[in-house]
Amino acid sequence: MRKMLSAILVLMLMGSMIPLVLAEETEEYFEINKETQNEIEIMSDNYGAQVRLLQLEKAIKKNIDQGEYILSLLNTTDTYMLEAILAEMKLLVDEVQSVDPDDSDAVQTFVDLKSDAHNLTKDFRETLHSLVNTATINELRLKKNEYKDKELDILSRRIRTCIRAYNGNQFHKLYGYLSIKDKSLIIEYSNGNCSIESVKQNFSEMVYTISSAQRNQVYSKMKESKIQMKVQSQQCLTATSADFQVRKQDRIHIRLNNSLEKGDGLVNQLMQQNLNDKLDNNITKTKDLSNVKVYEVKGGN
Amino acid sequence: MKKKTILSLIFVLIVILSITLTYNIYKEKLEKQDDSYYSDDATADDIIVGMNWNLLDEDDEVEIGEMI
Repeated sequence: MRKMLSAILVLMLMGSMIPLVLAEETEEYFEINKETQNEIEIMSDNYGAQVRLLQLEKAIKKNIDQGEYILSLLNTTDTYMLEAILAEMKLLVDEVQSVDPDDSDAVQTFVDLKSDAHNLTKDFRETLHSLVNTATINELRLKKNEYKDKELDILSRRIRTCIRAYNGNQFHKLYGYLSIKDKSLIIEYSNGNCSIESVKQNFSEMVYTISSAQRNQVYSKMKESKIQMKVQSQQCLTATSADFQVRKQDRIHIRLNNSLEKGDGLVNQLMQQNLNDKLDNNITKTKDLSNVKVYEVKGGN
Repeated sequence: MKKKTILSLIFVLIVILSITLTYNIYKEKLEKQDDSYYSDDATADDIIVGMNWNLLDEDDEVEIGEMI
């Protein structure tokens, strides 16, 4: 009898451990996915930080433009929820533009604002899907790429200039490892007068001329630099994941205050309602899929 | 007979748990392994590959999802 009871106890203990054993490793960093973790690695470089912030600004603006184009295609006036989300995304753009890349909190702010941008994009998508049927969604998907915004072209050029400056810094380091004093090609590249392939080709040719001992030294320095970047980004991530929700609440408060300056229109009221709901952690959007409305797409075939 | 059944069940459970734990540990080790950090002599190709570690493609973008 005692043996039976012991066996049953052991069985129960083992059973309670199964979920612990089978459970996937929990994300070390709250809401920070692998992609974002890789993106912030370059932000220890000033140009790297500028690149990421400009890229985030472009991504949000692109989605706002697409959202507005989608609204123009929907043959209905009942799009206030979607407009409210776009209004909040516009406030988000202002916040991204105001970030100083040299600020010690730039990485944290980038991660926070990217998370907000991702969530707002998701909100727009889900609200749109709850308002229109699948056929309309497919039509909108086909039409969305027709729209081109010249302002985004300007932003794209700024980003490319920053990327060249960032890559130029990396090449300066690499050339330094090989003790190459003539860096005119890097300057030409940074100014947009030659391609990155030319600089890479030049560097590669130099690598084949050095001794084995020098190669080991160079490679060791490259690894050390890479590890340093990873360590720095991990430290930033640790700092970012702490108080993530508190910062999110603060941002929502600020956004709410900024929205009050935009007027009393219905769209702004809806936006404020959304922000208040987020503050209260209440999701009040209803997705009644049994009552899907059919919106015609303007200019459809 | 009942005792034998219970003991067999416990044994099977232990085996399953051990296999699962071992697999998880092995999987974690695989993910952390990166041969490029463990070679003793660096080749020119290693350095050329390493050159690209921190460079950005000019069409590089940050993704935040689709609106549709």
